[in-house]
Amino acid sequence: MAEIRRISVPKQVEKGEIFTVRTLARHKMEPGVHFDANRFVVTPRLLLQEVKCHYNGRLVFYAEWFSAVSSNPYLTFKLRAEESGEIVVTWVDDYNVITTAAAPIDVIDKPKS
Amino acid sequence: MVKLSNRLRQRRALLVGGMSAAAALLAAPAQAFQWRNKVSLFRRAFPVQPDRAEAELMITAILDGRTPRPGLVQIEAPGLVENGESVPLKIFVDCAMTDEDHPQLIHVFALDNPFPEVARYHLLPAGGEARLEMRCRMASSSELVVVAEMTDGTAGLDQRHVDVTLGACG
Repeated sequence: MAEIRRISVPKQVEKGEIFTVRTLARHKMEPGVHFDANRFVVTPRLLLQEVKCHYNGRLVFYAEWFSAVSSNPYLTFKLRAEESGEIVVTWVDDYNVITTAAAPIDVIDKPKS
Repeated sequence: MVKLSNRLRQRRALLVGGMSAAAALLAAPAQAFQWRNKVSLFRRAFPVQPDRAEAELMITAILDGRTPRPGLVQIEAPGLVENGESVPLKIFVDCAMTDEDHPQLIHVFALDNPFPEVARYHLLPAGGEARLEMRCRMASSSELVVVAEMTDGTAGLDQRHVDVTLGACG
């Protein structure tokens, strides 16, 4: 199965605005309790344990996941727009395999009215 | 002394021989006994049973004598789901999201899961708003509990009962 790590942020936001970051990873999140009776094998545990979000290199969000997070985990959270740059979301595996997804964001000054 | 050590060596050889024989027997279905599977096989042989009392104890330990502030945490979850594999959950913590007033840590629990802890979220004031959305697994109908620990030392708690038709192996 192809590894898909996807994040979505609005393209352009005003300074100080609070926007949503939506993240989706395609992952089985195998809890290690499923028993295959034909092969007499327990499917090995393989989970995404950590999710981190960096905004221009600054850590802004951090999550720890356990076995009860659904497969193909979907997560959204909020961020406050401060400067244009890049938002990088990182997923860390049981075996310390790191996968990332990044998206640029353009912050504009509020027009004076 | 020398005799004793010889004897010990013999015994060790016997022991090692016996162990390798046993290992050879065990390794017969070679794929089944990979080192990665050992923990899982142990868990299969001695499965963890859901223990509600213990889950509640975990929450009491987190609250640590604090009375949860009412209305601080608001969660949204469906009352009835068909598949426990993915239960949508929305969390909102009513706070100013400044350095002094933001949720340091948000715990999510599903009380009747064999491993009741679902996730832990560390929020920072750069977030702007404490609003999360996720999906969790539930083994059977039970309460979803969200506990928020604020930086000023107070805590908030909210829970919602979810009926699950078909449970997942949480």
